[in-house]
Amino acid sequence: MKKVVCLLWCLTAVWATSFAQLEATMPFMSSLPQVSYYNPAFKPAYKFSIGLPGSSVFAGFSNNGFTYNDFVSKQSNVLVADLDKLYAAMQDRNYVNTNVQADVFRLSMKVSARMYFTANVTAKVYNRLMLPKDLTGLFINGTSAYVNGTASLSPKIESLGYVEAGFGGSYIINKNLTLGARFKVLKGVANATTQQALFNLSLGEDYAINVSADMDVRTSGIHNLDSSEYDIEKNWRDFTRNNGMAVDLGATYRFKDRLTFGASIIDLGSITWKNDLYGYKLDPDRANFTFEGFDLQEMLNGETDDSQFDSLESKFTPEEGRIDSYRTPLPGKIYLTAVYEIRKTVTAGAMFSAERFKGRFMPAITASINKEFGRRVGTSISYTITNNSFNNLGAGLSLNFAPIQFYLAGDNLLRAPLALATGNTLNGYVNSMQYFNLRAGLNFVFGRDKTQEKQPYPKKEN
Amino acid sequence: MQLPVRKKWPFFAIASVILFTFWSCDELFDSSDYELEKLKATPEMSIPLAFGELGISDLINEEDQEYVKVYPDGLVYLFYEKTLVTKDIRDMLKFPDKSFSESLPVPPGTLLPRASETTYASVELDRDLGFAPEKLTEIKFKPGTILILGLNFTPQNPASGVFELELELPDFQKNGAALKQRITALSGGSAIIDLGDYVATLDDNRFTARLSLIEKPHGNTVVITHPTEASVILGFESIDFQYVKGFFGERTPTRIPTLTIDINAFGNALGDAEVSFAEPKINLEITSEYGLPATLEFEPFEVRKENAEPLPILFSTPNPVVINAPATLGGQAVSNVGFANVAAVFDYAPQQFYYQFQMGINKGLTSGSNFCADTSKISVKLTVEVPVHGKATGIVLTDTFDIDLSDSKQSEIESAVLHSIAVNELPLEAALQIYLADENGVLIDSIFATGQTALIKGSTVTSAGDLSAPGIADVDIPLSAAKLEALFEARKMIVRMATTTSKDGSGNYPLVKFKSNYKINIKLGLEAKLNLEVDL
Repeated sequence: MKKVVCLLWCLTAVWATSFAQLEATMPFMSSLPQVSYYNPAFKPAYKFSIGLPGSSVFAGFSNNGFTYNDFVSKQSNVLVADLDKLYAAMQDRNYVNTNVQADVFRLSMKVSARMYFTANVTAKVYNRLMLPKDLTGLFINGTSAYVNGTASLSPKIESLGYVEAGFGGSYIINKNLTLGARFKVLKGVANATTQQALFNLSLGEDYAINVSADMDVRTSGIHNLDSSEYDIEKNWRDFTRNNGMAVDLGATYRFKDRLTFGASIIDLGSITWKNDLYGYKLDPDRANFTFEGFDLQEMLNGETDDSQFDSLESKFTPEEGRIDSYRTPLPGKIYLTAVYEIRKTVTAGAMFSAERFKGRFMPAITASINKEFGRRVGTSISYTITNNSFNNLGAGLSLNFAPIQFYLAGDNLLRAPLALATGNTLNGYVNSMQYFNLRAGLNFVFGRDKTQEKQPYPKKEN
Repeated sequence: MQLPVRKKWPFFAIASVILFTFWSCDELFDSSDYELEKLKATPEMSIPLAFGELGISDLINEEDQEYVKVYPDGLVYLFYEKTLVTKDIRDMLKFPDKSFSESLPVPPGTLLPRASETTYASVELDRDLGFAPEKLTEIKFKPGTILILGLNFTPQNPASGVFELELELPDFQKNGAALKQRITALSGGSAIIDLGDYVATLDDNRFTARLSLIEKPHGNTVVITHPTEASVILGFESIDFQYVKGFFGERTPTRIPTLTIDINAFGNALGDAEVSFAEPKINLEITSEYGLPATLEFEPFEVRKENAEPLPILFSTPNPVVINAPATLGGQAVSNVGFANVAAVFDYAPQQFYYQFQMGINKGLTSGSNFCADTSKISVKLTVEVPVHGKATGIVLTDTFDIDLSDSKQSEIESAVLHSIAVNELPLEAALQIYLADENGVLIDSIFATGQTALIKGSTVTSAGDLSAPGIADVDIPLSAAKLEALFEARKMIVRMATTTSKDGSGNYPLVKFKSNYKINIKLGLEAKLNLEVDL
């Protein structure tokens, strides 16, 4: 049992070891070429930069429902898995997100005084598991809470793996306004999506239990992997059949010299899945079962008929089979930023960002202070509220030794050293973590683009 | 542009602190934080236990389900029927084989050649079949009844090939023709005649036979020098009849084995109950196909139940019962017997009707005109009809089950509540108690406290006993920790349900009707608060 609980926790933690979908610190790291990923109108700090594999690796995790601390409590010096406490901490819908990305190639270059060009090839994996509170509540609190009510027990899964090739640029309209756009060609690798998931358990006043389900889960690029006869090396071209398009749009506007606003929409697009399509369905007309107890008539006759339970499995076994092609959207994001230049090397930033994907809107609010120590070192400290998480102190560091630029930035990083300092271990940090992401890499950068250097408009207008 | 060194110190200071902090820790994680020892939860489970819509027929024992009937107005009644078909009287009429040895003298003489046959000698006989005590006047034989005719000359055949013996039974006729049969000495001296479908008209078993010696045409002169005798055998064998008429004598056939009708409808539930049925009926119908005066003497004729003396069922007509006889062969006559104490019989709440009888025929008679066909029989049909219309108190249903919850952790159940909803159209209310006992049947405790047992409330009825309004009982019965503790210790569970019919407003028990469309809708559920603590 102990192993099972640990395994379950580890599985959740595995989901947890990749990172949040929204990055809050990186968009303020203006010295990094990757800043344009958050707003294509952001201008890279270097006239030319190139990234090879390893130039940008990202992982993120978020869980809006609970932390490890919500799961355990110490009672009389005994560590107890406290399910009541866990239930109290959970949201109605608990989203556990994991997200990994890696640049295969990236290029940015200043084409003219007004225009920057960017290109990237990036592999992305996005996973999201929705666990309804009722699912755990049913086991933790029992069925009584649902008398004359309904428990929604259906988890939902979204899993998306694809490679994007993006080509974009920013164009300086005038000294205040810059527009940017990036067009992306997408190749889907694998997908699992929940089109419909309903698994309801209702109890009547007489405790009669009704279970009904409706499910439509679609997958691409997964089912064949179960077959021992499938040779992925021979059939790798199958994975190129899932095509998609997306676009990033952005703009920045400088207001009274020191204040710059930015707005962007990222990953506005979709992928049409055609390879290895396989679906799992439950027909709501069939997947319905009511248990009112044992039949008194049969009991009086000395009979016990368990056949009603035999039908359960057949009613709730999904019908599976090949399906037609389908389309899924990308997790779309918006970033609204404001950066105020306090001093020449110090800026304060504020950001509202949000992700919308398959019925969920996840907002985040960030405040940051960014400091450049000369051209060599750039730092950023941020505070983010997102995912019902309020303890996210982020940090970023870039070391610019052109042509090499090393950087590391993430959200909810700074509590790690604080935890070490106060508790001598990372336990306090990890156990209360709901939100974490980290991006790191090594860029090759050339030619610092000095601010307002050779700008196509007067430095100041009267 | 390079920053002055003095402006870089904050960065290096912070970085140094962070790095120092990381490296100063022996282990980044304290694994003891993840070594869970227990898992705790306190779920409250509400689960349905049982449901059902029960009618009166569902409450009646399975063995009696086939006896449940419904009147056109929906009133349920129990109908039991047992019919005994007896052919004892017919089987009593057995007729033994009967043989007659006759002699026909053949005087000496000269037989001249002749072209046509003539009777040489003859004799007419009056014979008695000798049946007793039957004195038959008519019998129609079944196929298989045979008459053997034998011929032998003593000392020898005086005229071989000239004589034939002719037997004529004018009283034995088939299709209007009397029985005639010839045999010759040459043909072996015998013949077998099937009497099937012959009707013999007898005079108290007597019949007439004529034996004739026929001289056949012959071309030579035959001289019979010495007196000779023709010995004739008439043998009746395997006598059986299609019908017989006459007087069969005074007889007392064997006693009929004991007959019973089991009334399991209420099992032992009515053992100590006081019940009263409004219109019960007992009917004894006797159908006779015998044309004779017969009586049935019932002894005993009573109802029985466990732990009680049998109660005799009293006849309203004399016992032995005189059975009506049909006027003609092939007809039937029905006799119905009434009873004097029907209400008392059912108030007794019988579990069994128990009876035995014997028949008598021609009692005290020395003559008469009886008839009996081979297929004749007497049917004795006892029917018991019990409309479920009445009143009852003190009906107790008890059953005992073995239980063993020792594998479960009692401490996991903190408290429980039994939830019962019963919407009852039946005029029957019930109180349930579950007793808990140890292995030896010694009571430990009961599940329900006083006042908690009234799980089913009876419906109210009109003055005619029909449904007025259903009784609704929505009851939550908390089960205390002590009761639960007893439940886990118990090894036997004795379920006892005490029921009565509905009371009226004055607390009296009116006569109530149980109709087929009256149902009791019961839903039982359990709400239990668990305290789960699992060692990991």
